[in-house]
Amino acid sequence: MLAQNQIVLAADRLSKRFGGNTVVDQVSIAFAKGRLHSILGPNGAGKTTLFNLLTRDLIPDSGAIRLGATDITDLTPDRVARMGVARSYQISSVYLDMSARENVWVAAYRARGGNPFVFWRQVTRFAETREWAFSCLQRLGLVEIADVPVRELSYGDQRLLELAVTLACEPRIILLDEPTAGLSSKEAERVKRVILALKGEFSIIMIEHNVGIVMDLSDEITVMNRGAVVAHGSPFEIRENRDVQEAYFGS
Amino acid sequence: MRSSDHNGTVLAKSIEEPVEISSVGTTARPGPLTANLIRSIGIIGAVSILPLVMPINIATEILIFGIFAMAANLLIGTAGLYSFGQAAFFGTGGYAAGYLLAHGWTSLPLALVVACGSGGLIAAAVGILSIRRLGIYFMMLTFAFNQLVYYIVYSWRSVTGGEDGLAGIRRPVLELPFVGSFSFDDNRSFYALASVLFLATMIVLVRMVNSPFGLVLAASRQNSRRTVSLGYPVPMLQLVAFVIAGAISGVAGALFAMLYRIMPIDSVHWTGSAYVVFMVVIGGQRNMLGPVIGAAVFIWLQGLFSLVWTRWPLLLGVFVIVIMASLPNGLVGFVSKLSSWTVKGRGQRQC
Repeated sequence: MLAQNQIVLAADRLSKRFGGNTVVDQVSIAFAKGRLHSILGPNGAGKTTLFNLLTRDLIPDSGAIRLGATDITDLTPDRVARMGVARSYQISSVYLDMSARENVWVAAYRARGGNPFVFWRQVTRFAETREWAFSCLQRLGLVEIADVPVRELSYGDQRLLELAVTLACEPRIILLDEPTAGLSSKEAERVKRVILALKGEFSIIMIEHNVGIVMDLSDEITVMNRGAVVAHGSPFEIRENRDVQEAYFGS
Repeated sequence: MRSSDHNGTVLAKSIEEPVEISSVGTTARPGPLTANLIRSIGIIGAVSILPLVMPINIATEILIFGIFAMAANLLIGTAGLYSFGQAAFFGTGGYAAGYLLAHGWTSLPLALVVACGSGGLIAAAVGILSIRRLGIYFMMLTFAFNQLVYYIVYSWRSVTGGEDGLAGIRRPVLELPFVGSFSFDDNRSFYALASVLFLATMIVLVRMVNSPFGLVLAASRQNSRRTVSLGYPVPMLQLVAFVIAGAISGVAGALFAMLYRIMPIDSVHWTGSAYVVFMVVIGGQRNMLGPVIGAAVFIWLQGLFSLVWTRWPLLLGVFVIVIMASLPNGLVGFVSKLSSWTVKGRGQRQC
């Protein structure tokens, strides 16, 4: 068991049903500070639903969620986000009609405590936000495409921008939902290098189907199947686990 | 695992489809100072020339509907909220101010504040009940509330004049300390009043669209769930935008009541809501000039077609369809596309 002060985010017997289907079933899981914790599992295992519960995009039917020492079970998703839980989505969710710079600006502004009810002062006048947003683009090597409308960017660049947006949130914890989904192997390699560079600095929870990437990057792995946790351990332990091999690797 | 998606987002998406370019962006973002200066001079010049090239009341009407359409564009172009109930707020402002001006009150600031306040108040009530509905449901709800307001106006004869409209409205007077009082009985001075309010509205809305409020509103149009996950209270932002648009529509309604000294019941009918959406679509949503151009073209065509044929709405309808089918970004979008072919290279943004 982890010591209490090392846990950054934890779920306690979390459940979610859709109709008669229990998609997440009594899941208890703890994420340690500064570690990269992956969640593996076949399609329909409840991974994304678990993410949606952790960020409170979905309301759990039962169970509790704690962020550090705070119970966040009853908070709204925007409150949870403001407490430092940042996520990227499975399907790219960048703003297509804006530039990369504006995308990151929107995230950076709120993370720095910006009030959205400012009507007169122009976006261009917030020097500090601008610099922080720009540094996030720099960190992911997106400076050259900063002013191109996002609609015109490659999918790989859009995924990286999504990571830049997540970084701009100044998160305590980052939830990555399939960061390499839909990417070519070359682009996936680029994203992998970026995640590797962020590792250690941030607490990261990652859903990923690319087993190679999961094994290379993770400190810890939890395997889910049919809404429940079936295994938990280091990459090595998971690779050796019989149940996991049956459930996930299919051999 | 996409079961968690809101069922309505799909609808909202399909409605947004034709909008390709953000209303936040290219045009209104303060670029080089000179470009802004040229733009401002152009707009002020156009407003001054307008009454020389057409009957002055038509010019005034263009400005009034320009104000109304800009307010609608804050919802449609920026926030992505397709309200089909804007005439309710236009009408509320017009009737409220008109009632005062028909019953012995003469103060211009009072009339404007009452129009603004009543338009905003009704918008707040409608908004609270409909803003969380997405896409088509939001449209239908705003439409239904528009009908509700219409029937209240229709049946409350003692106050609104029912189907005869509210008659006997007198134009207000502006009393300024040390300067004296201005009357707007003359159509030229009334046009001047409308221009001042028009330009003020434009400045306020252009700044608003490029403020943090406007950018986040545009962000929530493009992906509302993402915007929530970045920590923004999206429904509250949308509600505030809805109230602001309602308040401005109220002012436009009040000016309309003063212009013809009568508030006709048609002005609060849902067709008015549809017309203002057409104005925005014809002109283009990408900046605040689009809806104004849309309003001008719409009113001009309305006049033209009604001279040609008694069934003029049919011609107007055909025109709107042709524009929507061939120019997804409206007239202004088309013109700037033309100019981007001739002038290569985009302006850099600086945020």
